[in-house]
Amino acid sequence: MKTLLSTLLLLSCYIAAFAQSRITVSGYIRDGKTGEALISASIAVREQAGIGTVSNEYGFYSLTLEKGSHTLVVSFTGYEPTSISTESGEARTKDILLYPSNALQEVTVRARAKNYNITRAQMGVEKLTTAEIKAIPVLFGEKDILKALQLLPGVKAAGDGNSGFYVRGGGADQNLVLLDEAIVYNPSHLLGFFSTFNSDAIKDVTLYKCAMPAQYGGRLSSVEDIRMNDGNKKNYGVSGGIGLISSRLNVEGPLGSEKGSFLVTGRRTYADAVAKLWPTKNVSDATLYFYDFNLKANYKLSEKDRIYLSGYFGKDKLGFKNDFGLDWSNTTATLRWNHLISNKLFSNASFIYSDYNYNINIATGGADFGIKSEIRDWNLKEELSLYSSPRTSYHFGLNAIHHTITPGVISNVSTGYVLAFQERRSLEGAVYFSGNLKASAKLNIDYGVRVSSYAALGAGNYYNLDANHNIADTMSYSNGQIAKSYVVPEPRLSISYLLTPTSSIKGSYARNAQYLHLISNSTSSSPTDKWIPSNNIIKPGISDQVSLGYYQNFTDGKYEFSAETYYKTSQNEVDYKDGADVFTNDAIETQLLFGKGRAYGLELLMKKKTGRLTGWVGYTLSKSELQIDGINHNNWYSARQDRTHDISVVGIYQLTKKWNVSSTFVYSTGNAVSFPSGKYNAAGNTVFYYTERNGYRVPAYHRLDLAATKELAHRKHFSSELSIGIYNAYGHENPYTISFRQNADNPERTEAVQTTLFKIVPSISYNFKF
Amino acid sequence: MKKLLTIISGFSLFSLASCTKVIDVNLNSSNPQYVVEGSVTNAGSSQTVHITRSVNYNEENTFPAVTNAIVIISDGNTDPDTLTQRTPGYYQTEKLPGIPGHTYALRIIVDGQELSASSIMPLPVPFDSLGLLTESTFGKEIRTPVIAFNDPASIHNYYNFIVYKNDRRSKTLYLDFDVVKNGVPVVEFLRDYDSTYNIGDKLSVEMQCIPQDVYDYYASLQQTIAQSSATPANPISNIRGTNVLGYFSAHTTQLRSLIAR
Repeated sequence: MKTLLSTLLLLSCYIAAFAQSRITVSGYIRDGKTGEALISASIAVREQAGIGTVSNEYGFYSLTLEKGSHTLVVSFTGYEPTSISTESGEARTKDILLYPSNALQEVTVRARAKNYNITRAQMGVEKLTTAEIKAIPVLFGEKDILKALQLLPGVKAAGDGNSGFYVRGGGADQNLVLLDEAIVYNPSHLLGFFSTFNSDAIKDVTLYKCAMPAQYGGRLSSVEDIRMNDGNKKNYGVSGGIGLISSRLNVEGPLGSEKGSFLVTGRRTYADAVAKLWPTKNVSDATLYFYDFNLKANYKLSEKDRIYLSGYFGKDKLGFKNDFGLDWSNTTATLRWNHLISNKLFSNASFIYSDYNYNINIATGGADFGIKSEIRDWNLKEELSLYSSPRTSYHFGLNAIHHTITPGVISNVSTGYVLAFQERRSLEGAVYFSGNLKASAKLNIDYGVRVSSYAALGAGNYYNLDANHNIADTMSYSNGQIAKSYVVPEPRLSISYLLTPTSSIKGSYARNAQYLHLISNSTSSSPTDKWIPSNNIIKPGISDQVSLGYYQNFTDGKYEFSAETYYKTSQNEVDYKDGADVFTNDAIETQLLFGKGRAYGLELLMKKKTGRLTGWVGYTLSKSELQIDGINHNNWYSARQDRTHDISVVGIYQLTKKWNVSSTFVYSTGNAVSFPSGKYNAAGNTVFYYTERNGYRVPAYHRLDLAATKELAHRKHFSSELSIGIYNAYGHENPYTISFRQNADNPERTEAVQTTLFKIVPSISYNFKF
Repeated sequence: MKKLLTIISGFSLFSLASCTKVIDVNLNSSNPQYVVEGSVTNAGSSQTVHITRSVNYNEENTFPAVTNAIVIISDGNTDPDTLTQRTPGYYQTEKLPGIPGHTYALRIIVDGQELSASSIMPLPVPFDSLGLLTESTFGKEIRTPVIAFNDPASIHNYYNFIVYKNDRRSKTLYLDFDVVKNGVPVVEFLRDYDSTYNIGDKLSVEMQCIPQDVYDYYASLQQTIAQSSATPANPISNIRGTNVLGYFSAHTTQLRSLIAR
C-alpha cells in the first residue's frame, strides 16, 4: 500500500510539471432529459485522430490536452452526438448533456469515436443497455438482461428458459455477477426462469469474456457488471407494466434542487394466483411467487463529492401445501462516495453488503425437517483513477471481502434435534494497478496486475484427508486464526493494433483466481446449490486465458464484425465423487474430487448498429473439457456445458412509427450428458449401468421467438405501449430432461422419455409511463 | 425432485403444451457386469447370494443367472462354508448362523477371477410397531404404512425398510439413519404416491439394521434409480473385484405384518 501511494505521489508531481503547457477538461456526461449519468460515452478530439477518452461508471470524464482550441465530439449509442469547443485557456469543468436520438432517423456520426470498438485495447467485451434489450422477445414477456446476454457468442444459456449461463466453457458459478458492485450469489428467480434483475431498474450491463480489467476478480470465466439507474434528476416519474406473470412499478424523481435523485422499483409475480384457478388440484395447491425491490439514491454533497446508495432485496417462495416449502432471498446494499481530488484524479470508496440464504421445510409425517443455509459478505473497496494525459490513464485499488458461509443447519422440528455444520469464515483481499497507454496512433495497450489473497479463518475444525478422501486428522483453530492462506498474482494485458482506421487486431492474456466454488448436482440451476470456500484441501480455482481477435467496422460504423479465438486452461476444478452425500457431511471435501479444465473456441459476430433494422448474427465453435482424477478413468471428458456449435440471430425492425417487431433464433448442440450403456436388477428394480461421464449428447436445441410492440399513446405526460410475444414460435420440443423407464405395455423393454417444459408460450404485457 | 417437477410443470401451465414423449436414443453396448446381491442375516442359519449379469440397454429385461460361480462365506470363527446352487444364480447355505457383531467374509470365484467382500452385522434395534395412516397428499387420499422404533443413544445406526403389499415387494427403497434423530423415538412414513391399501390388503415391512457401507450402497442406488443427478453414476459397491456391481450385507432382520381394515 505504501509503495502504491508513493508511486501515485510521484506520478502526480510528474504530471504537475507538465501542467503548464496543458489544460484539463473534466466533468460528467448525462442524459439531457433525465440527468442519468451515461457510462462509457466516448469523447474524441476532432483535431487529433486516436485521442480521446470514455466516461467512467459514474459518467465522469477527464481529458488533458495541449493548450489551444479543440473540438470535443461526444457520442453514445442511442443518443444524438454533440460537439463542444474548448478555447485556449485554463483548466475547466464542463458537464455535457446528450439527448436521445429518434430511432427512425438515420444517425450518421463522422467522429472517430464511433470506432471505439476498434481502437480500444479491451477485447471480449459486450455492453447492452436496457433500451437495447427492450425489443428482444423473451419467455413470458419478462424483459431480462441476463437472457439478452445469452444471445451473444461465447455466452450460452444453462437451460431452456433459464437465466443461468456459461461463458467460454466455464461453469455457471464462474461468472462474477455484480449489481452496483455487490456480488449477487444466486442471480435467479423461480428455479432460474427469471433473473433477479428487474430491467426497469437497470441502466446497463457490461460483459467481459476475457482480459477483464484488474479491478475485477474472484471468478474464472467472466464479469457481468450491472449498473442500476440513478433516477430522474429533473422530474418525478412513474412507470410500470402489467404482464401475464408479473407486474412492475417504478417511481423516480429528483432530490433537493437537482442535487440528487432517487429510484424505487418493485416487481411481483402472481403465477400462483393464476394457478389457483387451474382445475387440477395438483397445480392449484402449489405456492409459487417472487417479489423484488430495487432502490437507489444519490446526492451531490459538494462540487467534488457525491454519494450513492443502492440496494436490492428479492425473495422467492415455492411450496406445496404444508408438505414442502423452499424459499430463498438475495440482499445487497452498496454505499459509495465519489470524490474528485483534482480534475484528473477521481476517487471512489465503496462499502458493500451482500447476503444469500435459503430455507427448506419438509414435512415427512413423523419428522418435520428444516434446512437453512446462508452466505454473507462485507466488502470494502477503494479505487483511484488518474487521467494523466490523453495517452495514459491509471487505476489503483484495494479490496477486502469478509465471507461468512453457513453451509447448512438441519433441524428436526418434532424432536428439537439440530445438526449444525461449522460456520466458515474467510477473508478475500486484493490490491491492483492498471493502466492504459496509447503508445502510438495505432497501438493501444491496457496492462495491469491484481494480486489477490485469501485466508480461511477459524474458529473451527479443518481436516486432513487420507488417500481415500477420509478424514485422517482434525486441526482446531481459534477465532480469527488463519487455517490456510493463498496469494495469487493475476496479470492482465490487452493490446490492440490498428490495421486501417476501421479495422484492428487485438490480443490479450489474463489470469483469474476464484476462492469460492459452487457445488451443483442438479440438471438445472437450483437455489440449493452450495457455495463452499477454499481451505487446506479445496484449493482456489485458477484460470489462464489467451485471446486473439480481428475487428472491422463497415459503412461508417453501420456494421461491426468481430472474430475472436481463445484458449483457456483452469486448475482446481471441483466435482462430486460418485454417490456423494453433501447434505449430511460437515467435511464436504471428503465428497469432492479435484482436477483441471481446458476450453477453446472461435466466436464470430456481425452486428448492424443503426437503421430501421438492427440486430446481430453470432456463431460460436467451441470445446470445453475436464480431467478429474476419479472420474471417467481419469480421462479427459466433455464438460456438461460443452456445446460444439452455437448460433444466435437477433433482428429488431422498426416497422412504422408505432410498430416495432423483433425476432430471435437460437440453435446449439445439445449438452453433454451421461446416459446408461446397460441395465441390471438390484433390490427389485431395473437399474441402469453407466460406463462414462458425459459420454452422450441430448438432441440439439433450437427455438424461434417473436415479439411485437405497439405504441398506444405518446404524449408529454403519458405514454403507453402494448407488447405481445411468442416464445418457441414453431413449438419445437426441446428437452428439459431425458430419463429412462420401463415400457408400460411391454415390461421387458426400456424406453427413453424426454420432458419438454416450454412448447409454445404466448405472452402479453402493457407498459405505461407518466 | 419429482415434486419440483410437478411444480415446474404447474408453472408452465401457460404454455400450450409442456409435454413428455418417448424418443429414440442410440446407446453404446457395455461389457456384462456381475451383479451380486448377497446377505447374511440373524434370522436362522439360511443365507443366500444371488448372482446375475447385466445386459445391454436395448435387450429385454431378463437378466441371465451366473451359474458357474464358487461362492464361499466365512464367519472368521468357523470353517469357510461353500454355498450350493439351488436354483440358477441362487447360492445358498443352511448352516451359517448370523450373529450380530460378527464379521462375515464373502469370496466368489467366477470365470477365473475372484470377487470379495466383508461385512459386519450391526446390533439389532427393536421394530416397535407398524400401522396404516390415512393422509391427503398432493391432492390424493392414500393410506400410508407407518413404522415406529426407538433409535439407540449410540450414533451411526443405519436402517433399510422393505415394504411388501400382498407379499409383493415394493420397488421403492426406504432408508434411514440417525444423523438428525439420534437417540430419539422415530416415526417414519413409508410413502408411495402410486399405491394405497384397501380393506383386506396385507402389508408387511421388513426392518433391517445395516452396516454403513451397505447404507452407502442403497443411498447411492436410490440416486441412480431416481435419475435426478446431472452426473448419474453407478452405486458405491462394497465388493472388491473388476466388472462387479451390487453389495454384500450382514444385517439384522425383523418382520411385522398386518391386514388393512
